[in-house]
Amino acid sequence: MKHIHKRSIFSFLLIPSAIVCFLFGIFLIVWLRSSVRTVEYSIASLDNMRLEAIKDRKTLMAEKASLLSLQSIRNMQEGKSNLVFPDRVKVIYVKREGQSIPFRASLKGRRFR
Amino acid sequence: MRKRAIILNTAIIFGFVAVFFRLVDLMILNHGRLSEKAKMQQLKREDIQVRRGTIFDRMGRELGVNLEVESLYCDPESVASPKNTAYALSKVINKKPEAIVAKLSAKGRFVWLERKLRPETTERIRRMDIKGLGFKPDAKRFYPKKMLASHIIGAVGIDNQALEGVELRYDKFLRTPGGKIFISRDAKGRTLSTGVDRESKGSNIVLTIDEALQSIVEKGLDDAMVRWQAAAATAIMMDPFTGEILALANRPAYDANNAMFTQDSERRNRAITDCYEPGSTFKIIVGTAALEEKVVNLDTKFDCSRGEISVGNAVIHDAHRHGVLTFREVIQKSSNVGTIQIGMKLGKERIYKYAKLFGFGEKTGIDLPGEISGWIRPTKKWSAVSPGAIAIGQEVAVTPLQILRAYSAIANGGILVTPHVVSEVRSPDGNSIYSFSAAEDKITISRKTANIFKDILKTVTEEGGTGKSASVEGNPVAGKTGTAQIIDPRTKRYSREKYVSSFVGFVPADEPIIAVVVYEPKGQIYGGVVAAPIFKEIARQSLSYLNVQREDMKGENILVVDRRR
Repeated sequence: MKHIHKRSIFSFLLIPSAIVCFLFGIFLIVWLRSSVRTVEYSIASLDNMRLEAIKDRKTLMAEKASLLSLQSIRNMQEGKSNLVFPDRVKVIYVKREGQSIPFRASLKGRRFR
Repeated sequence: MRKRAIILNTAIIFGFVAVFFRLVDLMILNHGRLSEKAKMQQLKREDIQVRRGTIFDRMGRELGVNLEVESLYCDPESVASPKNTAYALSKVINKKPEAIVAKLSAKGRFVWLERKLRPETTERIRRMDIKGLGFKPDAKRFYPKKMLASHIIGAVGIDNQALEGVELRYDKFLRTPGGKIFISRDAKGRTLSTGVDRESKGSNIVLTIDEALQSIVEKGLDDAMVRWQAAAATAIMMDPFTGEILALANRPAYDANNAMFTQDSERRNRAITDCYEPGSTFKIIVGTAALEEKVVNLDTKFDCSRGEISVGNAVIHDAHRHGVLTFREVIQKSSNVGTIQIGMKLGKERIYKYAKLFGFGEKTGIDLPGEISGWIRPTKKWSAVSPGAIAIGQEVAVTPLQILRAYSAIANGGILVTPHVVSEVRSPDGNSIYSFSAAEDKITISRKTANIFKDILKTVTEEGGTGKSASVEGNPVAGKTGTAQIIDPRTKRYSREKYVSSFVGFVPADEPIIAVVVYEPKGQIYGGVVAAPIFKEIARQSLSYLNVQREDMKGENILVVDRRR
């Protein structure tokens, strides 16, 4: 009959496993911290991109507001034709009543939104 | 072999002991000092970027926005060759090399070289890669409509400090206190995300003005300045029921983007800071007072056939000789003689009382800085000429806005409204934090008197009235012309060449009220000739923009859409 000593099992299996677990735990902690740091760098980079986009947006909005001013439109028309508001005799007014009426296509009762 | 092992063990033990003591030194003995030092290396303190709120018109169009730009600074100690650097920069930033050299050679480690550069200029300087120069993000206030409504919006200085207009009056809402944030950075100086917003924005302001109406009014004034070679001109458009200013413009004007390079006369908001003798537009005071006090009725007759009248030791003339005029005709033809007779019937106390009831001699309370109260003396300081002179708009000083407000009381049935240019203030997340609410509106005259006088004012723009050229096709106009002499500072007497021509009116009877004042026109002087056509043009285009239906087309099965909000 073969006799197996309990202590040798412990030292042969459990101690190496514990060391592996310990090292793996340390690796996980380091890896997690490094990942967090990498994400922070990515977010910072995205933040910068966002700020750049906001900056461009502000510039474009200002440009749009500038181009849409009646004065700019008048200046563009300079020498071509004079920009005037329509003569009220020539304007056809359409009454807006209550709720908007649903649009009906060929199928009766069908509503398009 | 054993001896070597002992030496090795001893060395290892000593090594560990040394490491242990060093750790004690780092983590216990000098912990505080070293951790502070580490924080200083790892954390960077940055200012939160402060941005003023946006200014919108009543339809949500941007009138004052922020642009993200950069400002150029230098560290004089790091600049290798100030002369060469200055020469290179002068080609890009349009400054003399000597001025740049002075800054590059200044003491200290931080000197501004140029504030708020254009993006393309920033790029050009950045490409030069000059040591000792750096850029800081900055916000530039930008007014996309340039000169439009500049007297209302106002302007800011180089550090975005409020200087004029709404920018100044509502500065506490528009600006925001800012602050500091700490950003983590690594050994290479790369920053990590803080998760905190690096920008703090002030509240947004919604004005009562409408860009399109403002544009119409400004175009009208530009045309008037050219046509009459005038020294200045002012026009205001207001909703007579709410006191909302729909448009307000002055000429000369300025581009708010370059406010620092403009003259004082261009920045003056004449509508509220300049007063003048109103002349005939002031005749509504005695007119309405006489009706309200039942001193006259519409058919009371006044003999104006002599064309002049003696008041105290002065003789006051009519511009044209009239015959016997009814009360209605006195106002329609703007007879000085007739109005003075009405004034005499009323007496000085009642003239003064109604002038004050219409708000003269007091600020209107408009939410713009720099308003003056105008001027009307108390009755005990009046001379024998004063009742006659004041009845026809002399010996009093008013602002164009005061006159407009007085007429709006006639348009709205007798209520003196509070003019205002800001309707609402909204926080950056869209919540309303302020909206205009007037103090209790004062009642000046009864609704009945106001309605009667409104009808009389309609006759002014009809055949035989002084304001015929203000009439608009399709809608009746109620209004009054005014022509006033200016005191010549040299002779201290009324000038025979310098006049103020004005027209105040509303069209149709319950729609926007418009005042036009032209200072020192050349060639013609009468309000009916100079100011009334400007009113007509402004009114015609405004009615078209506002989709106001022509009254002469009613009943022709035309459907109307109300686009106004």
